[in-house]
Amino acid sequence: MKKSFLILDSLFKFQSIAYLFIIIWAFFISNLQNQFEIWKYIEQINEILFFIYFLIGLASVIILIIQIFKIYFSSDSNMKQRVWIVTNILLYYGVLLAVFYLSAQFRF
Amino acid sequence: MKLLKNIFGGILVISVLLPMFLFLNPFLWGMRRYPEYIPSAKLEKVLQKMQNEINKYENVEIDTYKNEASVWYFRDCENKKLDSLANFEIEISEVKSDSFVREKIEKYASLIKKEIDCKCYDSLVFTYEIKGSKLVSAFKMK
Repeated sequence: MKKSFLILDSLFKFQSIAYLFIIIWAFFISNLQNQFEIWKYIEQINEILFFIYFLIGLASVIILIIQIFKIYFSSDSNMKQRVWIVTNILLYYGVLLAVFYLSAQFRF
Repeated sequence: MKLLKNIFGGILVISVLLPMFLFLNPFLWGMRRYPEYIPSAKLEKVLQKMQNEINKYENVEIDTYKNEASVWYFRDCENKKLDSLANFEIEISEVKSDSFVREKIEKYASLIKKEIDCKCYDSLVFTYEIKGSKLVSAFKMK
């Protein structure tokens, strides 16, 4: 049987990297934004990124739920995938916190 | 075993959905605190000292809440985006003796100037009331 696209190992990897990127970005914003002249435009950048990250947060809900159903409610799944989805859920919490943080970094 | 797996799956689905009550809650997004001026610990100490000295003969309150104070004001100031600088206003409640308060204001003005970011304010302004009329005492920052 052909494996669904949503539970491919490469997609899990990509998902983790995307979540980590958002978390690290928020970490840099909180610690380094006043250090460089380029960050003069950080408010506009934060505003655009907030909306992108917000949509990623919402899309993640759907993707993660489909992945959980495919892995935990069907017979063809392995241990590696089950661990990976839990890791991704933890990273997803980090993304939600990062989005909340970014929402406070520009003027509505 | 299969039941256990399904239960764990159910828990994971709930754990993904639960933060959405927070994330998509319009009340939470609307409840952001209004930005207000929060004086630094050192400035607060100086103001407290001034208030204590005045309160030996009067009974006044000293407030700084009216100032442009949000983090955005200082960020704009640092990035040179401000059209004009605001005044730093210190409000003293109703007093009885003008000369006594004026003396204290002159004594503390230089100390207060040291504690606030002078680059971002035009003047240091003290306002106080005597018998219903408002008096202003201002000091240029630079």
